[in-house]
Amino acid sequence: MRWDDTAVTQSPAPPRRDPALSLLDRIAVEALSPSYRQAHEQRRRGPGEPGEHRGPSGRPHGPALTALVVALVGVLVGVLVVASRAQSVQVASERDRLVALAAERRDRVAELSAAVVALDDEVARLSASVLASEQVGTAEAERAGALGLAAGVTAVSGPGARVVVQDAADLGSPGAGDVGRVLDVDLQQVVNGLWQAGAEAVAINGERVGALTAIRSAEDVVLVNYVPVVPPYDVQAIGDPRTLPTEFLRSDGGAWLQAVQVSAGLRFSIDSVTDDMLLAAAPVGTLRYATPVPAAATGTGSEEGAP
Amino acid sequence: MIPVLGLVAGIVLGIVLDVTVPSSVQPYLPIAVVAAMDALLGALRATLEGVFDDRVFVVSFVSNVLLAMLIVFVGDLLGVGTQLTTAVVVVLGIRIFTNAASIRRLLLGA
Repeated sequence: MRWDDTAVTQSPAPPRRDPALSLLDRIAVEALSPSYRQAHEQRRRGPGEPGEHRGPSGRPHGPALTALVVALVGVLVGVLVVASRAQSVQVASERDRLVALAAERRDRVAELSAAVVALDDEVARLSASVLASEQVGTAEAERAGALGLAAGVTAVSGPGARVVVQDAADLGSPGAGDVGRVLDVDLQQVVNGLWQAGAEAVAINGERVGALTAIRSAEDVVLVNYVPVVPPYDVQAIGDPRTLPTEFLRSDGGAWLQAVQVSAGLRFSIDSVTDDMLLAAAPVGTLRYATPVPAAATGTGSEEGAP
Repeated sequence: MIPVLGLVAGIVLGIVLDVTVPSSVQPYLPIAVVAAMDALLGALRATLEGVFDDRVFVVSFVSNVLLAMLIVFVGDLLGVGTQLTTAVVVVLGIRIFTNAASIRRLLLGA
């Protein structure tokens, strides 16, 4: 047992109780390879001089070999330094490349967004010029404008009313449950009530309600135009500021709100707004079935989309 | 003195030569250097204790470096390369620390 005789020379008979500890102990005790002492003992017993700590000259290898091996260690270290530096350079260049790519893509998005805006402008300009041309006539232009307003595809401004709907005050408190949350159906009722009361344009938290707008819940979040909106829900309606609030309260939507106020604790308020509110245009979705009426048939109406 | 010069010359050579290590060997380079450091410190301690033997040094150096790399290589093949790397580094680390402490005691007497 090699490590036993080093243990004797190093520390006399260390007590070994814990096998795990003895493993680590052995590593520490054997830190200097026991072969060194063994070779030394052999040499002392042999013909060499005992004090000499260089290899005896009679051996095939000498200090030159030691130097060579030490130089080999140096080469290893040098190669490692170069390799790790090359690696870090590579990582850095990779990161730079990704950053540049991200910036490039961001620029491209900005470019395309600008193109969308420019094309939208062009569409508006072209349709205006078509409507202004003699072929169509001013009556038709006015009709297109009114339809655009009603469909919500043009931005509008004007006075009207504002309905603010909020979750019940105790929503989220322990034991209150989910009853006091404003649902999609509540907002649908509000919007329908406002139409009923004579509103000409409606928006919820700035999302314009257009012909293709859906007000839907996804989990606890209400989506308008597929955009999540959060309470308090600020429903702006453009119409006659003197009659809109009272007409709304008398509408089905108003009745609905008052009912859920009593039963579920929802809070709402309605005020007339005499200053101009600006409502943005609703997004125009992809029209899959509707096609423009040919010029010859314009006089007969455009109700062909109805089932 | 000659070994120290050899070490310096080796480091300079390694940096100047700019050898491209094949990527398959690259993961084993750090472990080889740790094993080489262990052999080097062991040799230094043996020298200071007056028991240095160049044959033991060369053999322990070559076998330590090759064995450490082989253990990690086999570990990689078996999917436990990280754990075996840790094991090798723990063992060699304890030896390096112990030898360094002995060298400190021998040189500074504290």
